[in-house]
Amino acid sequence: MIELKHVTKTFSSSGSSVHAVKDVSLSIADGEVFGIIGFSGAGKSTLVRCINLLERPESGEVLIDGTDLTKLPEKELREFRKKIGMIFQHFNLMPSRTVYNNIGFALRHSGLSKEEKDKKILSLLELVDLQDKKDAYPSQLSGGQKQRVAIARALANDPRILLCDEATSALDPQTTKSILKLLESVNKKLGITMIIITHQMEVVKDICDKVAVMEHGSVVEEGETIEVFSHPRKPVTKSFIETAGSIGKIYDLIAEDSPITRLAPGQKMYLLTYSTDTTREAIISYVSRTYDVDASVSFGNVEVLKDKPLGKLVVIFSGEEENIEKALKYMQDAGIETEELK
Amino acid sequence: MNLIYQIFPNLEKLGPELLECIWATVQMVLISGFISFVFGIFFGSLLIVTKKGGILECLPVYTIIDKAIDILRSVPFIIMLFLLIPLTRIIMGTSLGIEGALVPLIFGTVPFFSRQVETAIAEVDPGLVEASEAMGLSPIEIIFSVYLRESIPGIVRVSMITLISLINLTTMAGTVGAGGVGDFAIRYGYQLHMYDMIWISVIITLIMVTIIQLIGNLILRRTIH
Ligand SMILES: Nc1ncnc2c1ncn2[C@@H]1O[C@H](COP(=O)(O)OP(=O)(O)O)[C@@H](O)[C@H]1O
Ligand SMILES: [Mg+2]
Repeated sequence: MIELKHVTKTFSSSGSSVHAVKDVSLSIADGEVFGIIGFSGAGKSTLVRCINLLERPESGEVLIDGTDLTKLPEKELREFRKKIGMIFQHFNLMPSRTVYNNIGFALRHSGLSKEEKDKKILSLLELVDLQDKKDAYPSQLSGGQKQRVAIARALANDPRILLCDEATSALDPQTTKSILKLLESVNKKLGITMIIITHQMEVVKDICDKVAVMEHGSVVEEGETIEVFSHPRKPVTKSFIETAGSIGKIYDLIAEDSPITRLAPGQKMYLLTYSTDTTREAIISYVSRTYDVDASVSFGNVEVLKDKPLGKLVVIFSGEEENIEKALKYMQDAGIETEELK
Repeated sequence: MNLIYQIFPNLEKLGPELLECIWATVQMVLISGFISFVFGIFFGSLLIVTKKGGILECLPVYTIIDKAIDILRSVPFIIMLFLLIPLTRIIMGTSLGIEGALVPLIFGTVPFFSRQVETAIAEVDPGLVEASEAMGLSPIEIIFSVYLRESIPGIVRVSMITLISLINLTTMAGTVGAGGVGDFAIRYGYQLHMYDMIWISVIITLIMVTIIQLIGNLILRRTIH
């Protein structure tokens, strides 16, 4: 269990100061995959570095299984860090060491014998599927392979927690998928708690159970991934959802007055968001019949958030205004979010 | 052999003395080079870790070393040679001969080399240090296993440059009676007009520089991946 309580971190340099993290409190359960999403400069890296105290917060507590890391002396803190793995955007492998020795480097104080270390390294290489690259140097590997080595290294001391700071941001979409799959399987197989920092909506969407949205150093929204993204409350959250699917384009199209967004008199355009498994066709055809309104879908998108669907439809309703109101009310009661676009 | 004596007529007579002078140069370069290497690595690393944002940030220490290096580097070696005579007497018991030359050679080399080591270490990706700190390594382990280890190619390069400039300094050390190839060239070549002895000194210096570069390149080839 990781608990951050009122963590604050300010950087001051030559007179000006940056409030990188402002009074953040979070609680992350064991075995959870917890995403922290935010645009560049939001304070995500600083926050995650506060968890293993690479960055010392000026106030607040960092509790891991009840131990307040900010109160530990240096030596004990270093011991504690061995149980918190970390991977990075740029992999940070030692160029002068082979893959084998990069992983072995993390085991230098493990107290294992030479044979035990060898066994451990080989099993880690198997876990990340890189047995054949054992004697390669990092410069001979692709980005995805480097990140796999970094993951193996981070897991060497059997950590209970893995911190991932933009671990897929330097990778192409396909490699990103494969690294996310690996992280997911590590989470399932070893039960490791994962904190995933990212500015990519796909990452959160694919593997995070919970998510916190950061902006200007604060967590502005937090909860189950599906909840946060089906009922976004903050503009920053909405803009992340827009980056994920094509649905965000509708706003541009409306602004440009594109033909597909032009309405006849009496028509209204709505964005419907649903996250339950209620079949949308049934509801739309139901309201259409019951309230005598025509509904035509002009745009649609269904995202899958860690196995749960999140649908978004742009629908043009035509009919009596009063009837449209009733139809909307019905859908809102059924748990569908409605946003008037035009 | 006869051909060599034809080209360098004075070699037959001065050969044994030249050998002695080569040996003196080699001794000066190796001893002061080794000691300067140790000090240079020490001060270079200390600069990196104590500077602002370093893993053992300590600005007073950084500022003192930084300024001391700048001051020492601005003193011309030939002046340093005489300035340090009292100190040399205290440390070595004499200010003459090879022993007398070692202290000024080290003082002339360490500031330059420390700065070069600092620059070489500064090339190490800060991400590696971050990863090592996250792995729970202590500062001393980071200095040896990350900073120094990852900058071996850079340190080898600057060591080559420093050794070569050290050969250059040893020629001046001849003025305190330390002997050496430079002293040989001045005494016989310049003062006694035996120009062939200047040429042979140049050739010997070239050979020494070449050997240093060969060894350096060999190490580089084995350490760059
Ligand atoms: N070591 C530092 N010194 C000064 N400012 C910093 C430092 N690290 C981060 N910052 C500032 O803190 C803010 C948050 O940075 P960061 O945590 O890296 O954001 P993110 O990871 O979300 O992009 C930024 O404005 C950044 O410039
Ligand atoms: Mg960042």
